[in-house]
Amino acid sequence: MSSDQIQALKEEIWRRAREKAHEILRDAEAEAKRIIDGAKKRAEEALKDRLEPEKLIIRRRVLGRAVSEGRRLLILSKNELIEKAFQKAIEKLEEDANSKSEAYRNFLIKVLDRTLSLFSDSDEDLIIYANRSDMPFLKERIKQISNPLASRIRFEEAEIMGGIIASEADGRRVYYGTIEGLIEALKPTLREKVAAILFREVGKI
Amino acid sequence: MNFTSLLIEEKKASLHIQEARKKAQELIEKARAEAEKILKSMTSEEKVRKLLEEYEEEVRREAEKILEEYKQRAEDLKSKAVKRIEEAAELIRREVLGCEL
Repeated sequence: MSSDQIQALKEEIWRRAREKAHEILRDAEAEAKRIIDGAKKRAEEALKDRLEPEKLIIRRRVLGRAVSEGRRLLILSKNELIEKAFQKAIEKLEEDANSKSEAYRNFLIKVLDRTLSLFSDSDEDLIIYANRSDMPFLKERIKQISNPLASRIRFEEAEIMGGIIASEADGRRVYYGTIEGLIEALKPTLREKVAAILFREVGKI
Repeated sequence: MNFTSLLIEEKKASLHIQEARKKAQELIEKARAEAEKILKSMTSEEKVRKLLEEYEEEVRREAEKILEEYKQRAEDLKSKAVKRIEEAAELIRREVLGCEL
């Protein structure tokens, strides 16, 4: 074998060896990349599994609180407006009572009639409490009607906006027919009606 | 003599391949260690806590927006309803004075 042939064989041995070594390293690099990529993927999944339930809890807690607070604000605003309407109504009723408007006089007559009817079976004297400015009108009304109770009625002044409170002399039975009392008694029903007027475009309270 | 030198070259080439195998093994071991490190760091308590804090901050900003929307709704509600207070008050007045006793 000539020296050229020997040299050619040596070169072939090294070419194959280098190729093999290169292949081994290339495969190893690919395997290393696969290991790291796999680890990253597994880590991300593990992290996601760990975080998601906690995130859901945080989201519900924080947003739930915001929504509750927001709703509370809305309800407070609505209540405030409803109370303003009642306040305004009280001013109007005071004006009615002070000016003795026709509506108010009719109301007084109605309350007085109701009182006489309620106490028609009573043997006791009847005390009618009313504000000072309503006394003349009530006394005149009693005079006008013929009622067996009329002679047993006594009037007394009371610090009320309007209407009357009637009581048997012994205090056993009392009837409250004041404006203030009626507002309070009617309030639950009236609130619904007032809300329907105030918030007709935004739904019921 | 020539054959001997060929055998020597063959041996050297084989050592070269062995060296490559060793390096490959090191590469893989290093990757495994790195993988272990990645798994540990990604799921560490500190990392989880930090990510949850960031998320909570993000949700809080969302919550602030929601609350602002409700405040705006409350303001709109007031501005519309305030014009109807007179109407509502008149209804109360009528209902009280006209109430069936």
